[in-house]
Amino acid sequence: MDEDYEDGHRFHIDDQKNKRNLEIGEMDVDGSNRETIFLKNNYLVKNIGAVVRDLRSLGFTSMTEDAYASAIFSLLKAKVHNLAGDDYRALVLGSIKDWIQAVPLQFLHALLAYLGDSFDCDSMSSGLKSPLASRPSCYPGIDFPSEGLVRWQLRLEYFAYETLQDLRIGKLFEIIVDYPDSYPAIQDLKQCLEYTGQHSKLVDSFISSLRYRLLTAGASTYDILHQYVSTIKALRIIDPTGVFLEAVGEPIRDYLRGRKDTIKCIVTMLTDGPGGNPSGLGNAGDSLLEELNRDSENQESTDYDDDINSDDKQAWINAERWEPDPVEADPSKGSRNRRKIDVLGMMVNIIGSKDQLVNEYRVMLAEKLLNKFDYDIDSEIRTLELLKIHLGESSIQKCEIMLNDLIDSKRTNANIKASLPQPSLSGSKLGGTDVSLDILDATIISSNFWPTIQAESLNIPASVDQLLCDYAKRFHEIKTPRKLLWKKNLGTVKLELQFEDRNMQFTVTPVHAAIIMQFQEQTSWTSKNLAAATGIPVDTLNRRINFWISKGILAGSAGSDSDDHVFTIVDDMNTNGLIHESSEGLLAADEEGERSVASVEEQLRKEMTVYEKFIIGMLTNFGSMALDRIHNTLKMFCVAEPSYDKSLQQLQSFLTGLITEEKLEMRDGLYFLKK
Amino acid sequence: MKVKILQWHAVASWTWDAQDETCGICRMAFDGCCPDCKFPGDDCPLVWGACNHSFHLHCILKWVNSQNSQASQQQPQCPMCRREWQFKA
Amino acid sequence: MTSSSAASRKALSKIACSRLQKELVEWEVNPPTGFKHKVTDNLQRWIIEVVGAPGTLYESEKYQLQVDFPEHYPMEAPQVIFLHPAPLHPHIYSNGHICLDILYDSWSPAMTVSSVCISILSMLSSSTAKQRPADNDRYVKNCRNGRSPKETRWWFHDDKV
Repeated sequence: MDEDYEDGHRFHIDDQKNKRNLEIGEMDVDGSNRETIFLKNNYLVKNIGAVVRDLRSLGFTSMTEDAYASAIFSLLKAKVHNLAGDDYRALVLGSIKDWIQAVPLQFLHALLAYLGDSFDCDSMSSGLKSPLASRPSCYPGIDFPSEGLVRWQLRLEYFAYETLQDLRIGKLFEIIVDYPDSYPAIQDLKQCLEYTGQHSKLVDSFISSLRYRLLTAGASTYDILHQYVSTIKALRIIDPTGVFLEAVGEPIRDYLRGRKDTIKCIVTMLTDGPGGNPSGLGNAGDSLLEELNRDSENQESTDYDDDINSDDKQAWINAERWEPDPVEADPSKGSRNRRKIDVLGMMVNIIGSKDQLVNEYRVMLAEKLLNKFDYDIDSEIRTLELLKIHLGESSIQKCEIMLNDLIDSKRTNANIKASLPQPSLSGSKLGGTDVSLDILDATIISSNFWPTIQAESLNIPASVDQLLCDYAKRFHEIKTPRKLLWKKNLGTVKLELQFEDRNMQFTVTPVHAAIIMQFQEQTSWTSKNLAAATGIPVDTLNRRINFWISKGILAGSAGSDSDDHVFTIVDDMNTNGLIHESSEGLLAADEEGERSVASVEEQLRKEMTVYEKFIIGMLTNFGSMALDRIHNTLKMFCVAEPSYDKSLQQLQSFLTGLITEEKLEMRDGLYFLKK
Repeated sequence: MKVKILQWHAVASWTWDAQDETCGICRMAFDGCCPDCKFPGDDCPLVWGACNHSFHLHCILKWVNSQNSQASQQQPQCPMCRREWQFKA
Repeated sequence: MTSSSAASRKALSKIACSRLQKELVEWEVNPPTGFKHKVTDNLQRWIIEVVGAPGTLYESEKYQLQVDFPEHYPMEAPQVIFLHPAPLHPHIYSNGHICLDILYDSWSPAMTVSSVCISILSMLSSSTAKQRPADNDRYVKNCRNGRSPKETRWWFHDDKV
């Protein structure tokens, strides 16, 4: 083998010289080229040729051919590995083909000529072509290739395609991780597969590497989703029909469905870019939605929902575009779903329905909007517009109303503040704290269209409470007969703690503000008393007050009573050495994982109970029903508010809950009322 | 220690403050909007009749118009109490 | 089917649809006593089973109401008739048509299927004699061509029953 390699090496150098000669030779008038090659490779070809001839005469014809064939193949294999390697950023197929032309084919040509096997080609010079007539490419320096040589070329190229394909398939996982940098490798692979037709190899190998490397507890949901998106993008180059993508995507989707944070991660990926850079072209930090939008502007008609704009013309265009599925297509999966490879559609596919996606987005949007200091919602509007394009207007109408509330709030807020006489009347002085309406802004929501808001009791400081009263009164005057209902635990407060030797600024929730403001008049509180003063339940208080303890503002100690704590203000900076900057801009709510909006799961339970009586009613009428039928009937009837927008899986888990509550039972896949 | 509030961004919800939760005609929430409207609030206001019953403006107008267009001589009535419908001043 | 005028077969308007969905959900959550809605996939026609109230002439008897909703429900009344056999009642014709003012001139959009059902049941319950209206034969003959009761100019018999 070493020798083989040595040979190949030398051969390679020889070849370089030849190439140069050839280039010069091309200028020559007649076919003296061949002579040149003969001369250059004379020695080598003669040696091998002599051995071959001798072996042939001993009756080892096929064995000799096998020998030099396998030497050439192993050389080719080494060459492919050498050229392709682990670099996915360059096309290599072309150079491999060039090399096949330049090296092994030249050698074979010379050898066959030496052996006298191929001189029949000269007799065909008049233009009679071999059965493999279409010469795959031109043969530098070989005017009329023999049939034997053409066969060799096809063999070598097939081997090269297969070798490169196997190499790339083996590393497909890394290639997709590198996507889009690895685009050239994907293109090579696409060409190889078109030639070899071994797509199923790709599917099997890729699925097993996914299982081994990605779909494990160690991978974060974001990583998996990123790889999923890259897989979609990369594979749709290789296979525009999406058949293999479907096979490969299924295990990823299945796995992701089992993760609790999947929907949340998908929504975050879709909607959270750094934002605010509308002019940027292909920013790396763009939200996925932004990117998808660029894609769909480039492609024509990639609307997610077929039904939205399926007029007759579109249907006709679709019909005209129809092509039969590749033979590998799984006939059990509708070809309509496969026809369009839509990244967003494939993301929705993981979640189950676009309504669930929208619900999760709505909760995240609510959280975001409720924690805003200003009314700046430009990036949210942009995201919503993009969602509208992909999901249809009706599904995001509630989100639109939420954004509209912010726009209205900004206007109303300005009106109210402009119309109220300033300091003298509404400015109040309480507990040494100056507050005027200047400091108050409000977001006024149409609560029917927002996710359920977590209501918490809270006594806010009297001075602020008075401001809220004035504000609400003014609202009522401007918008008669509408009234305001404050959600006092919601919102954000920017405050400054003023100590003798320092000032510190914090951005906190109203709950935190109410707590710390109690320490102005009294430097030490027991948790029971503080809970009573702030109107917060003791356990909540003990949890929320940790924020101030972690900031070194308060210190907690056990009280006389075992379940009572004493909190005292820490007035000495030196003991805790705080850094001011670090405490600024921190939203305490986020830190503690406190949410002002009920999570999707909590809402689901609540929402489903509306349908409970409906389901019981149906089962009373029909006796028994299968899951599908219950689902479809609910879909049919519950279209108005609250519309039934749950997925089959959600319904199933709800019904399972009813079974555990012994309201229903299930036999043979049918649900019955529990007698 | 003193606490100075620099900014307080509060959250409130609005309500029409009607006696009922839902409009007697479309059965949608008063604080929502009628089935023909996209946005609640200013875009889909409530109106009160002289009898003090309230409806979405768009809903009661539809009813009043449908009554007027009928050949019958009768005046439009409040859907709730059948008293003659008059918009409250 | 007895009668279903062309007008009532027009597809439901958006308002009608949304209102009926709501009524259906409300019905399932809180159905009027003595009534059972038969779930079908047709929102525009409800078939409702009614059981005569205890202590009345119709105790435990079962009848079926067919409720058809017009395009502009609830601005227009639904068409409500009894399917065969209709209960014997001085205000109910043998073809199922019901002489009840709220189904016609006195309809109000604040009424619901549920409230209509309750009115019909109370009409049944207050009956003192199981008999057809006096003009039954003439009226039914006039309706042979499939006329809807909503096209009848009703002369309401008696407010008490």
